[in-house]
Amino acid sequence: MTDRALVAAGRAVGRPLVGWLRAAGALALLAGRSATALGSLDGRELARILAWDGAQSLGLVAITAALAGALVVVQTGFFIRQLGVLGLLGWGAGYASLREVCPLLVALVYAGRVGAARAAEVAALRAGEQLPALEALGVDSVRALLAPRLWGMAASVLLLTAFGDVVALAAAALAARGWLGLPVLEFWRSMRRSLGPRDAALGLEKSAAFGLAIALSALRAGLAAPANGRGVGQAARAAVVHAIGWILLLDVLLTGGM
Amino acid sequence: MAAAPLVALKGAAVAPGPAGALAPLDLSLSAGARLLVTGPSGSGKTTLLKLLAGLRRPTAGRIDWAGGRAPARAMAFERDALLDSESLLENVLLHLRRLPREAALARGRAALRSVGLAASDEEKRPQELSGGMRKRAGIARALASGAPVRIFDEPAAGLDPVTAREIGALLSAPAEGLLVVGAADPGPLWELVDLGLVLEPGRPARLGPRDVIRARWETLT
Repeated sequence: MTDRALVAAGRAVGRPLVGWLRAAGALALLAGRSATALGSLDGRELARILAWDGAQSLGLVAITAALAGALVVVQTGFFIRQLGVLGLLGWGAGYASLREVCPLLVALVYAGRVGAARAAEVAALRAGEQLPALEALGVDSVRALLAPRLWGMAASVLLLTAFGDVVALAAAALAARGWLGLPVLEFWRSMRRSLGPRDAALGLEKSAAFGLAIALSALRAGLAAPANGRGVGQAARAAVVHAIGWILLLDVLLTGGM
Repeated sequence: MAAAPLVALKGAAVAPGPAGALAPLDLSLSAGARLLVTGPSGSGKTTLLKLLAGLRRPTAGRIDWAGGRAPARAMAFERDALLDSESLLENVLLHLRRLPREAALARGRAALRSVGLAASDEEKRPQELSGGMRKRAGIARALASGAPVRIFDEPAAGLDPVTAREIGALLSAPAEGLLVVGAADPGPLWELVDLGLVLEPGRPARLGPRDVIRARWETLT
């Protein structure tokens, strides 16, 4: 191999590697600075993020969770009836909803609805020079603006998943009643017999990890995008793509570890 | 013996990139200096202001502040750079959170009044105001900081001549500090300063007394 080919090969490997390391470093720095800001967050800003990103997503999460809960029953109902094990339906639907379907779907919906919007907002704050302006005045923009968004988004995903769990289970019980004629009380008993708080907690652990991944992806995409109008669109797209990738990867890793 | 400069740029330069560039520049400014930086678009005015504000680092050369540490600095940007989610008053208070709330409110309100914004404007969001009013609020935010080094980028850009003159009259810095104003079309802003600096791509920067630099700039334009 000639020297030129060696240099070209080194560049081909080195450039993406350096880019990846830079991105990972920036992400770690953002996470670290946000963590140190946790004790002194601007409560007003945090409340506003929870209201905007959390409360305003309730409707979409309710619809998603209700459809997911019903779908679990409809998908499994045929086999449950064939096998004559209706008594397991509450357990099956509850297990799937609490541990997998709800955390995953809420996170994916949130990444598309809120993650993209927050990434675009941060990119717009850079393009409009609001972030540099804060730094120029000696204000720590991570503490003032980014950390409340990060923790607000992460908390929103967790709370929305807990809300989605309740809606999904209620929808599953109603679907079981309508689709298979299983009384709601019977569905509830089946669920109570086999599921415990640990099942819900494991799902919520996942959603906490998903929430952090969505928030970090969104903020990093907003900060890394070019500070212009096109950068706003690029940030939104990158936030969704990265968040979905992280959610799926974390889901595999966390499910394997549970 | 001449007093040591408050800040000295020694061959400070920024390599060309998406966020601007600056050719190597030597510049010394004493405490109390009032400098206007002018030049055509792309000459590096904003990049120089950002270097002085500490928002960028030189890719070559260095910037030395007296005592080895930069004093508190405040910069107002060409665009008002106010947060749309906050009221005018909260925008001004953003960097005053270390003060007790009452003291911060008093200082913020005084700054807004000093630029001609009324009490009834305090709770308005930036998008409810005209461009001139937003510009005033951006300047009020820099003034309220109390920072001795104050940097204003294109404070009169996009404004009618009357408003531009009014806004120009608001720009100030403490006697022991530094006032730096960047403008491609300085107009009435010349009256605020005692030094001028012309940046031109491909040519050495020219620094000198206001009237000399002003006359030269006006013959060029």
